[in-house]
Amino acid sequence: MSKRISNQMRNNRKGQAEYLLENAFRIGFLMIALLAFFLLITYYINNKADTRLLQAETFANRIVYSDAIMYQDEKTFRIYPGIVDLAKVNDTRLDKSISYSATRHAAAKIKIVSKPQQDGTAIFIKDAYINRNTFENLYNMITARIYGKGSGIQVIKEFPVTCYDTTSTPPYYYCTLIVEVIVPNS
Amino acid sequence: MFRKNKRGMEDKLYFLIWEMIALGIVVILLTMSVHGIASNSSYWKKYYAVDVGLMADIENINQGDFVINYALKPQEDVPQNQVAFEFVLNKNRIEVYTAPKEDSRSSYTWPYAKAKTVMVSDQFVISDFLVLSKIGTDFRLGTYEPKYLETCASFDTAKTIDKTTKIRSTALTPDVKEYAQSFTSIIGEYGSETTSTTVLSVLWYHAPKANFTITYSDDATRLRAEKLSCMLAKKYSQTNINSTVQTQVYAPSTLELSMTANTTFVKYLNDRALLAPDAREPWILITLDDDALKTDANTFAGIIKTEVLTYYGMK
Repeated sequence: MSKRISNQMRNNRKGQAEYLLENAFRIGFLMIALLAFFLLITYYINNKADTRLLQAETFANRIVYSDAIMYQDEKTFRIYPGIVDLAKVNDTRLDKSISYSATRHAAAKIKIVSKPQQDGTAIFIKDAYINRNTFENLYNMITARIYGKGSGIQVIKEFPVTCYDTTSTPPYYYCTLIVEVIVPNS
Repeated sequence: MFRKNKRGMEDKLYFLIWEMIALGIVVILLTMSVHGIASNSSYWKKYYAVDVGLMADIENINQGDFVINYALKPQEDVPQNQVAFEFVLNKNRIEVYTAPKEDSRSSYTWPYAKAKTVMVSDQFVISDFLVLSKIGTDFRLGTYEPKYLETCASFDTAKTIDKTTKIRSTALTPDVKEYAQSFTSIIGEYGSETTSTTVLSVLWYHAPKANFTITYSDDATRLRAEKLSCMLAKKYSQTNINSTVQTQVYAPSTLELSMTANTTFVKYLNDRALLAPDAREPWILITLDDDALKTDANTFAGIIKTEVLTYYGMK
């Protein structure tokens, strides 16, 4: 048998094609069997903990309760969650204040708008990002409805707050803080 | 004919060998993967890393102190007298290994964002009961019963000090003049101009019968002065192991000064009171006892300089 195959391999093209097809089926079948074996194991054993929403909540609360954007009294060092210091709303300040060692981690956009007008619309005041590049990459994936490991989930939270702006008169006025958190799927 | 047959068999043999090697690699990888899943360790490593990591994030909000006690679930495949996991707290992440760490094939890591005023040193914990605490500036992962730690307030006092600022050093009695002068000369590069704004006053006093005490200002500058006093007391106690340094807020009824010292001190307070409230600097009064006077003036000035620079975020 081997003698016949060996001769066919070397002496004619038909034999070579036959040999290739014979082994292609063999390797293909082996791969399918292994894949099925692996998929069955991963399907029936739960080894995943989906913490994306929890991560998004934690991150949003970290922004709202820390001194990242909230006003801090210079004398008492008390932080007032609910009073947004507009001078702090910038990318540099935020990235310094809440900085993760991994860039592919939670990212957020912080948007400040005026309180709703009579017609229901709100005027844009200021925005800033934490981990801007990751946010923009994942945001594009989410808006394009691309799912899977490369994409992420978005959580949007709104808080009615007071804005503190030293450049305006009076410096305190009502506004809305919108925190958009994006957490990568993997 | 014979040669051709032999070469053909040789080719087929190589093909079979390579096929077996590839199959072996796939089987080994699959077995390793299945073993991790079947032993539960990979799931729980991930679970604990994420859970503890997210709590670390919350504790780093940096408002007040936190202590969280965290009991791990007993592992079915681990005997009761053995610990299943080893935790490592780094400056920016939590790592979880199967205990002992040296035998662990892989770890699971979760990052957290450390607040800039919080201090973390690498900590290794092998236990079924964790204590994650943030007290003052210290962020720790341990197994101990939480108790009060000698720590100082964590709020941010960073400020640029240079030639345009001034750090005053005044001796209330002649016997501590050397200490005041040493500090003035050693801190000189950060502020010695007589015309510039005073950002801090350090007053020196020697009381043979009193304890080594640091008294700090009681007005709007109290929190700043209290933090610096705490840092100095802690540093001095670390450097001189047998010494204890007390700190107290200024109250005229509790501060006992000699006649000469009191005159200088009252004059200083009166001059300071003439300034607008926002322009008043925090002050500390270092009352040295006889033991403290045995420390060389330059060494003393060096300790204070280090802590003052740390306080201003310049070190």
